[in-house]
Formats: sequence, structure tokens, C-alpha cells
Amino acid sequence: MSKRKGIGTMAVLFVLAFITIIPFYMMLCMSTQTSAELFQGLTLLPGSHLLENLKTVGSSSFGKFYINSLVASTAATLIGTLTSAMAGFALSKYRFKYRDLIAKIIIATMMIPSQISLIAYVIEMRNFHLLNTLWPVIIPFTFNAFGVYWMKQSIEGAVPDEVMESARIDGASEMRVFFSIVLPFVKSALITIALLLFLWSWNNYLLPLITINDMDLYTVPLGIAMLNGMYRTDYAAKILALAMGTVPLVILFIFGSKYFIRGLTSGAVKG
Amino acid sequence: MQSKKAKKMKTKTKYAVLFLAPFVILYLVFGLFPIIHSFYISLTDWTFGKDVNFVGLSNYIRLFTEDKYFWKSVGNTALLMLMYIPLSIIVALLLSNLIYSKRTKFKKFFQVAFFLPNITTAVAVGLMFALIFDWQTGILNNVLMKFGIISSGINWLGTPGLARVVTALMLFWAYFGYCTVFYLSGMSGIPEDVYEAAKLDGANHRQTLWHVTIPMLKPVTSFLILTSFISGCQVMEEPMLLLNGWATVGQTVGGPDRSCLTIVWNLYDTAFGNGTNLQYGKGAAIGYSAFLLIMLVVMLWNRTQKTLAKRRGDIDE
Repeated sequence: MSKRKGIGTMAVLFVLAFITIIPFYMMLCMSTQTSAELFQGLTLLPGSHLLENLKTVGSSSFGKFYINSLVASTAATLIGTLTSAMAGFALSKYRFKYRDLIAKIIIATMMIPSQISLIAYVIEMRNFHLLNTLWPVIIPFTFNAFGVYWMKQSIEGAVPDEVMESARIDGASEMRVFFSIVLPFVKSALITIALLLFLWSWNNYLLPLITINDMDLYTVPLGIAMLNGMYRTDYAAKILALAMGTVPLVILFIFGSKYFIRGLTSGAVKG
Repeated sequence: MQSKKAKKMKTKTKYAVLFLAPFVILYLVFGLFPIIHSFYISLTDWTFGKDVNFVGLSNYIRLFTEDKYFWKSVGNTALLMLMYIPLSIIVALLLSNLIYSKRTKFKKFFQVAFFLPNITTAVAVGLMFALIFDWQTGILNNVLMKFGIISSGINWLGTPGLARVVTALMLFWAYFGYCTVFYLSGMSGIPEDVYEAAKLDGANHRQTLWHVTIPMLKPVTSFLILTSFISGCQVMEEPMLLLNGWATVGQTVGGPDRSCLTIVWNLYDTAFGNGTNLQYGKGAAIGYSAFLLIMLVVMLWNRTQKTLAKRRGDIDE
């Protein structure tokens, strides 16, 4: 009885896992076929047209989109992680007036949907003459309230005051205490927030859509969405580009899933 | 001694300010300022390239009373949320219960597999579903016709009702794994002896789920309802790409009959969609109205939660 139930459980889980994975699998298969094959119907096996499709995608600006996304997401991740860690450190290890109030305000800002500032943000970028750079898609990720909250919690729990104090007695400056004492203690928390920032900035579509007009600055999601105009009839090549834009993050996620999930669920456990 | 201590505190405050400064300055300049400026813009009739006049609340009044699409977009968003959020949460609860069971193997694999759609860019989610549900080239119609279930393709994305269902299905696909992960992390926090006690009392699996697991997971459930609501109000990219992404014919704003025009899609379309008529004032008013609606619902939700908790507390005593 119990064994049969166990098999049923596994069957349900596998069916659902199949449903979540099948669109990815189909995308990968379709990216190796010719456009003609695609229209003939469903083939659940890889085709032999991958190299030709690669050539088509390679001859477009897709490589450039990749570099743009890499540059923007890396910059967003580095700056955002640093500002989060610094602010988290200040809020957890220093005592000053209004500290708890500031922490509360920062957490409250997480509730404000970002779309509310969208129009003024675009105007601000135009006034700062940043519309023809990658900055408009970097800046919103350089100050992340969740990151501050997350780093504050992590530093509070993981960094012993005595270690910091003894470093200070040895003559270490506050900057040094932060970089060489505090940060090594919270390495895994840093990885979590860095991965999340990278993911969020890489996946973003709305921001580049409204702030980037120059095709040389397109990011991967924007590039994929705009592929329609570039090789309109070559459906298979478009799907290959879609796959190429999706797969790196999937791999990154599979290897870093522990960190991703820990970061995302951190707020809920306490209720 | 006293003054020395005070001096030490002072230098510390200096450093605290120094460490907080990068975040705070960036937030003030690029976060708070545009929020406030957007509110001012919402009180003007600003259309890009034209004169700007202060018009008070008339954008809001017009949105609430005579605008064709504002309430429609609110209704669409609510309808979509009603279709995919409860389903996601219920499926996630049952699923995580299955994954958490001791007999289940490959736990890590399932956790990662279910979460995969959630880390995929909305662009890819929308386009993948477009590949499946497209009228002429979609996989689903191909399969159904091959097996003779239908004789001609169903226009999934061209019919208002069906387009909504497909959109909700896509959002469910992308979202239930996210909820599952939260429930799993909540379940790992339930002490083992609670289950032991239930077992001793002779509770079967269903009873344990209903009387132990679900009540213990209440904080996770209410967190998920609240955050799902907030994120659900902001849905735009997935339906936009599903319905318009690579469509070769019939690019429409909001899908057929605007049946899938969400609040934020409406904002986007108003302020940025039409190159010759960028209505910043009205767009900003849409943003603020949506924000007010969200806050209203969140406040009501918090109040009901508190009242309920109080009532339960009275009974317990």
C-alpha cells in the first residue's frame, strides 16, 4: 500500500517536472532544425541544422547584445552588492541616532512597485544625457533595498564583534575592518545577493525597452524581442537566439540554486 | 572618560554615515526623486514635445470616471491573478508536501526543475508559450490536428477568453515553482516532534496535512498571498511577449479586444507605446492610481489578518 503510494507520488512529481521542462526542451530541439521542418510539425528530436542556425545568429548583432548584457549585469551586480554590504554593515555594526528608523524605512521601500517612478526615471536619464549609454539599465540595480536587508541580517548573525574589535586594536582602519574582516565572514550571503542581482538585471526587459533606442546597446532580452525585424522568416534562427539567451542563466541557476533559493526565501521563514 | 566615550561614538557615527552614503545617495537621486517627480507629472497634462500645464487631479478623475481602458486593465489584471495565484499556491502546497515526504527521491532535482521557469527571463517565457500556442505555427495546434482531435487550428491567442486562459496558464507555469520553494523552506522549519505527535494520535496523511502542516505553514501562505498580489499587479512582460512578441500578423495592444491588457501594460502603452503620442501625465497618473489600489488592498488585508488573529486569540483563551 505504502509502496504503491510512493510510486504514485513520484509519478505526479515527474509529470509536473516534465511540464516545466518540456518548453525548454522543445526550444532546444527547435533551435537545431530548419525553419521548414518547424512548420511541418512536431519533432521531439534534435535536428541537424544547428551549425547553419548558429551562422545566421552569428552574422547578426547577437554577439554584441551578449556583451552589452554581460557588461550591464556585471556592473549592476558589483555596485549593487557593494552598496548593499556597506549599508548592511552600517546598520548592523554601528550604533547611531535613527539607525532603526532608517532600517525600517529601507525595508518599507521594498513595498513600492518600481513602475511608479518609471516615467520620471526615463526623463531623469534623458536630462542626465545617459539615454545612449548602458547606465539606465544598470542604475536601478545599484541600490537594492532587499540587498541591504539581507546583508544586515547576515552580518548581524555571522560577524562576531570581538574579531572586529581586536582588528581595530591592531590598528586596522574601518575600511579595512569592512573589507578584510566583515566581508570574508559573509561570503555565501554575498554570493546570494550577487547572483540575484545578476539574474534580475540580466532578465529585465521593460527598462531597456524604454531607455535604449540604439541597437548597438541592446541587451539580450531586448535583442531577442526585436529579432522579429532582423531575420523575420528564419524562425529556427530566432529560436536558437532565444535558447542562447536563456541557457546561460539556467546553468548559472542550477549551479547556484542553493544560494538563489536561500536568498529568495529568507524573508518568508520568519513570517 | 565620559567625553572620550562620546568622542568615540562620534567618529563611529561618521563611519556609519560613510558606509550608508552610497546606497542612500543612489536611492535619493534615482529612487525617491523619480517617485516624487512622477507624482508631480501625474498632475500635469504633459505629452512629450508639447507644452506642460498643471491640471491638478483631472488625470485621475478622468481615469476613474471616463477612461475606457483603465478599469478594464484593472479588471484584466484582477482576473488573471484570480486564475493563476490561488492555483499556484494550492499546487505548490500539495507539491511541496509530496517533495518533503521521506519516501521521495531526487528532491533536489524536483526543486530545481520546478523553479526553473521562475529564473527564466519573461521574454523567453512569453515567446516559448507563443511557440506552443500560435494559431498557424504553434506546436499545440499541430499536435491536435495530427491526432485528428481538431480539424483546423484553434486561434488560442486571437480569442479574448482563450487568450486570458493561456496567459494565466503561462503565469501559473512560471510561478508555482516559486511558491513551492517557499513552502519547502517553511516545512523544514516545522519541528519533527509535531509530526510524531500527530502519528501517535493516529492521524493519517491527509489529516496530518490538513490539521498540522497547513496550519503550521500559515505565515508562509499569508506571505505568499501578499507578495503574489503585489507582483501580480505588476505583470506585463510575459503577456506582452506572448501576444505581441514574434507575432507576424495582428500586433495588438493588450491582445484580442485588449482582454490581456494589464495595468502596467496600459501604463507602458500610454507613456511609451505610441511614438507620436507619449502621454507622460496620464501614464504617471496610471502608475500612482495602481499604487494606491495596491496599498488599499494591502492595508485591508493586514487589517483582516489582525482581526482574525485577535478573534482566534480570544477563543484560545
